[in-house]
Amino acid sequence: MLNKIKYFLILCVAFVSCSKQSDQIIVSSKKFTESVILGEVIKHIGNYSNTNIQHKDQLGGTRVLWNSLLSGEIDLYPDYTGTIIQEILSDRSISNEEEMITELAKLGIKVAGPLGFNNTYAIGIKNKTEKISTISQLNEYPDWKLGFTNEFMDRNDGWPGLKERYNLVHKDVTGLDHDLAYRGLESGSIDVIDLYSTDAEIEYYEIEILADDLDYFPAYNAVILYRNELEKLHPEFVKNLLSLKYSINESKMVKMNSRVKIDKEKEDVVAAGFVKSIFDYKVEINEETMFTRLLKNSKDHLFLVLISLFGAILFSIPLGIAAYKIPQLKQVILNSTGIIQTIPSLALLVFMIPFFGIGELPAIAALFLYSLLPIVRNTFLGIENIPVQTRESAIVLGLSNFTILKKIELPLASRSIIAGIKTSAVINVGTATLGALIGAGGFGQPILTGIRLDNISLILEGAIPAAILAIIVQWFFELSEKIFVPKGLRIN
Amino acid sequence: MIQLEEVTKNYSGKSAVKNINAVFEKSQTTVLIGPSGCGKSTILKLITCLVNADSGTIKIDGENLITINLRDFRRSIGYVIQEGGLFDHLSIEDNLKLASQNFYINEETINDRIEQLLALTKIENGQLQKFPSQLSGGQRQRISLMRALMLDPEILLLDEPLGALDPLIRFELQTDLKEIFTELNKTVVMVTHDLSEAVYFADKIILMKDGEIVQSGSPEELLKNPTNRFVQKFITAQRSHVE
Repeated sequence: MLNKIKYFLILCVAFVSCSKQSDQIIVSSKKFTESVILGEVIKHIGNYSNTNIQHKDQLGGTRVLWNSLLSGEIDLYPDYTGTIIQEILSDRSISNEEEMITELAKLGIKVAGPLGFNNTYAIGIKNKTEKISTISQLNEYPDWKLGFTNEFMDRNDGWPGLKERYNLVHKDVTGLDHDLAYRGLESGSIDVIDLYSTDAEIEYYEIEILADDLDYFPAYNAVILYRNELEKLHPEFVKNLLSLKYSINESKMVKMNSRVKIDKEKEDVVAAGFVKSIFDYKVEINEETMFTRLLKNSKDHLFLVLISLFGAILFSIPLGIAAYKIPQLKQVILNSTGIIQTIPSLALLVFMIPFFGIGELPAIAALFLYSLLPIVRNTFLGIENIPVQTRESAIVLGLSNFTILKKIELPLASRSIIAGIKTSAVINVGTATLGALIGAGGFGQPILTGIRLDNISLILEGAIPAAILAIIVQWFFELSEKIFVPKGLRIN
Repeated sequence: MIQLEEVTKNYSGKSAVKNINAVFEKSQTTVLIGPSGCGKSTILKLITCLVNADSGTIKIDGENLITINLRDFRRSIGYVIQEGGLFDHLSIEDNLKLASQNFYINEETINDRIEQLLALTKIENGQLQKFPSQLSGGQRQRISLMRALMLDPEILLLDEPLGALDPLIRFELQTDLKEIFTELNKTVVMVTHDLSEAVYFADKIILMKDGEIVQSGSPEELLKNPTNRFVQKFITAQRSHVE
């Protein structure tokens, strides 16, 4: 039995052999197209400057990126002055961009830019029949449904401040994904959305922008935030970044957004065109085939699932045994693993960021915690359900507690334990798709991009392999029953 | 010889046995009988140390049980329960060998012992590779008895060993068991609720009710001189269906 487990573990470690390089520059971007394009621009410039640069795209919202930048998980990312002043440094009452630069410098962060365009928040409607042109006039339509991005709902410079400044009376206000908001507006299920002034969709969907007549929204000049040490380590790269100042005006940015969102061009292709125009540098686009993408996503996804699942197996089985053997611990163990299970998976992922930063590690930690309950519970129940007579027979035969556990209880509970592992594995495969939100890659990556670009085939490129993997995992554990469940229990 | 002196055991405030005084003579078969819940199985659990007495003493050949090394003591007892208590995940052979291997007895000795016991319990060699779920109830009880006898224990404790069998198989096994007991000459304590079975096996019968001994003695004594109305009623109730 021990030998079998050994082989099993070796097999799985071989499966997930995966390593990370250390002298890399990590550029990151937020979960919307403009940010991803700027991230790609930075990546191409990194390549042009002969650095080893990687772009971790679509890493959730401002907070995740800012904290990752501070902790050094990432080296740089594009952001906007309004966001930095109103949101990131909101507790320092900064009044202009010079002060902002000084405050950032104190934190070891430098600013490249401004890039040349102001992507301010704006409020948009799609209603041709009503006569409305300013945000103030919204109060004439108190029954309208407002659908704002989740980030806008929470930000200091978002809905709370807007509502106060304009004394808005609307009750029906919901949070949703930015890319879904346009579709909601188009279908008429919402009447008012927030948007970015450089969004490609404004023209495409013929959206009317309401004038900010009380001057609520500050300027959101695009800049690049980077860590101080980048200047020492990669001076050439930073020099090239700084040369981007005023190189992208609003119409240029809207055009680039439009090429990606409306014309369905790839971000890196669009970014490459821009970089070529500035540096006279022909970017080699590695045309990623669906197959190579699938291979990479599969590898990332398996890495997350296998490591977290094996950690969970190694940890949960002893925990389940302890819950049975030590009555005082039973409730503590079962309740605490139960409570973890009730935390929404997305929240659990985000909770892990302060401890483990971004990328695979926090995702693995969250998936590990998520996998505990089914295995712990099934181990506990598998042992508890052994008939008392069987246990008494073993005791009277003179077997020690350890021998009873090893030779009687665990083999008799094996079917139940494997069923628990199977449940955990299938949940794990599904939940791991959320890992993409914190930079862990996997099948969630194409799903995330697919939602952002309204591209069904990309969504399916993540969803179908994830479903197939879940089936394979299920099948694998059914097969493993033949190895781990003793023959005597498989005979009817 | 097993002696119980003023032994009391309570389960969550309710007494299972009260101030029991009993002697189980060496090389004799003593049968504990009585209605369900009378405490007869508890006595076996007390002797096997599956439960500990709240008060009183249990002596094995004059030595207090609590001073005896438990591992050594369990090596000297064999225990058979109603459904056999075989381990479903192990083959018959592994079920038989488990305890012997645990006591580091060499493989050759173990195999010789299995050969002897196969003959004694009338089990064919071919059954050894099977699993408990592939055997009939009667065969399982024979294997369970074999397992109990593997280490050649001094004491054999049987808790309703034939209780779950259908009448024909039960009759056959009764005959074989009686032969085995006679041949091995062990100290046997058997629990049953069936009077005819008790009379068939017993050198001595102990009749219990509500955790207390109502009467004990040879089967003849019990049948001829019931000491009170309960004994009388118990005997009549069990006989009336036959007569």
